[in-house]
Amino acid sequence: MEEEAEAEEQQRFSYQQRLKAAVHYTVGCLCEEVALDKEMQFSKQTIAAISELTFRQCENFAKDLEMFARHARRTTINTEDVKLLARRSNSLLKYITDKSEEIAQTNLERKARKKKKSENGNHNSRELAEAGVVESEK
Amino acid sequence: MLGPATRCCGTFTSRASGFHPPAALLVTCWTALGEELVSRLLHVHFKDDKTKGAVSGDALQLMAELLKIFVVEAAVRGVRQAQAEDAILVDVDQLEKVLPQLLLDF
Repeated sequence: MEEEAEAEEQQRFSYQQRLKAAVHYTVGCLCEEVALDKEMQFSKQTIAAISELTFRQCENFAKDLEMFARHARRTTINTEDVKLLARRSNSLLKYITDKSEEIAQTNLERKARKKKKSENGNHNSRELAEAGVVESEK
Repeated sequence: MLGPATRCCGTFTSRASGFHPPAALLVTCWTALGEELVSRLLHVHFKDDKTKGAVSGDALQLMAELLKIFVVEAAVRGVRQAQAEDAILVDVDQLEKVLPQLLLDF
């Protein structure tokens, strides 16, 4: 019994390690871009520190998001919850709000395009079907 | 090309207005590893069994954005601190000094 619990613990630990590694890679990429732009290098420890920071901050974010959704009596986390996360700094809130509208707009357009495509597809196949019917009736 | 993007992210707290969202630059690992990584990162910490399923797609994209800003902000503030100290690179000492305000802003 204890062995099982230990094995599970091990698994969860290695999963977290893999996630941390992915975060570390991403943080490295982002810092590299900043370094190129600002012409200032980052030490390895700094990048490691930032990625550890990000990982821990995710935990706070996740818990807050969960609480917000539960407070609103929802089971799904949506953009309103994320916006509430960004409330501490005015310019951050503004940026996130603008971004969320941009994302909503993009997704709306994408859906509209998809719908149009499938409608055209149906329209074409209906035309073909009708043409086929006419042919056979002749 | 990277200029406006990182500059914007770096000064968002110091300008009330005049912060314009960067064009889709810094389109990097976050958006490449993107949604899935962010989703997994959040799910690891969800405690409530009822929420365990669900983050909406839009919210995921927004979270990816937020996390990206977090990282870039930390980096750029570190650079500014190093520049103010005339340091040759951004070391943990510089990061330590910008950390408190960073965490207060998030």
